[in-house]
Amino acid sequence: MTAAAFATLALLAGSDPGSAAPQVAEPPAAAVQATQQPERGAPPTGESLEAQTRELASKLRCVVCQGLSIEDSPSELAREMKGVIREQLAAGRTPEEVTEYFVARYGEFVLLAPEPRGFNLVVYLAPVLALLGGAGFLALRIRSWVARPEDGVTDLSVDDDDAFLDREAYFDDGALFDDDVPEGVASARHETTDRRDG
Amino acid sequence: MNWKRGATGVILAVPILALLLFGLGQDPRAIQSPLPGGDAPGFRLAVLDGTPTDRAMLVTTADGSPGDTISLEAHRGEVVVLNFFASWCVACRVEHGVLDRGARRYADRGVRFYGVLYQDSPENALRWIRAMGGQVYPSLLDPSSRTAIDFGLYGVPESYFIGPEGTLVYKHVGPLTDEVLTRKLDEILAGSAS
Repeated sequence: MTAAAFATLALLAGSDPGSAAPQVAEPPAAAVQATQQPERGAPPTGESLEAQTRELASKLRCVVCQGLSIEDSPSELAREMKGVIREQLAAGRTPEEVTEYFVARYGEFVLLAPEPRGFNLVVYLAPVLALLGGAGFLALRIRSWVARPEDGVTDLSVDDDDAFLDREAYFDDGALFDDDVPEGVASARHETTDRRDG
Repeated sequence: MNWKRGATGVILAVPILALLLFGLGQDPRAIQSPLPGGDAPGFRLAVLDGTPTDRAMLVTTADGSPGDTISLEAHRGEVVVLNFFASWCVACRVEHGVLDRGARRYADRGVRFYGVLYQDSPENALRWIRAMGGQVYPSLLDPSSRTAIDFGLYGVPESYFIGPEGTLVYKHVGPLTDEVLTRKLDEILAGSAS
């Protein structure tokens, strides 16, 4: 179970987030050349420049209000920053280069989506981890809950209250660890298992 | 309650608590600029009329006459303290005396002080400087905040210490104190002397 979960995580870490955000940190020179070549030709103008500016501005964080993107922020500095984006794009810089300009000055803080590497991976992996962990836990619990009614029917007629309470306590405790089963309960459990199987 | 459940709880809780504890030590509003340590961004800004200016430092225009701008390039070999301020900035009031004292004290040691007006009108700035009792160093105008953004500024006051080689040595967020100003300038001057 855990091995499978970690394998899935490793796959997610390897494939998913890398492609999601633009790679600012030193991309290989060849790759930069390849991706930038077509845009080098003609800088955007008019509506396409506005669209590119808006797109980039919505990915960068306003450093004054900090919870908003430059696109959404009403602050003066955000407006000026949007102006910087527009100027640089119009001068023929690629969106990656403009992003890099801001990261060089304000750090990764300006990226609304942090780069998926190093400590940042916690943000990307923790939810997946919690989800898988929760699903695993639920699966185990459901298995023990499903096993209960059958036992309950026979148990209710048992006179020995102590044995019943013991078993109740054991299942309430969560049947996560097989070797934790108290002596008497263990045998009772094996009995029911045998009955069901037979 | 058995020990394995307890152990599971601890194993789950410890990393989460550690993460939260780490978060407590961080100021979520502070922005660490990667700029200090590298070259300071160049600038060329107009002088705010009415503030004392060293005519010799003005960038000469194409026809050879002195213009009205100051550029960082012309300050190679000197230490530059660039202080972004505004008349609407409350913390700047406290800091103004520190800067003015510093500018007097380090004038003959090759340190240049400049104020840079941030998102404010020249009239307001002049009135404010007068209200503060005047200043011995010039202030510069940055009308569209381009220089502020170039320096990674996110609020006022912020001060930038530029070494004689043009390196951005130190960025100070918030009002400067006499102690910090003296310590940083002495460090930079000692470093450049050796």
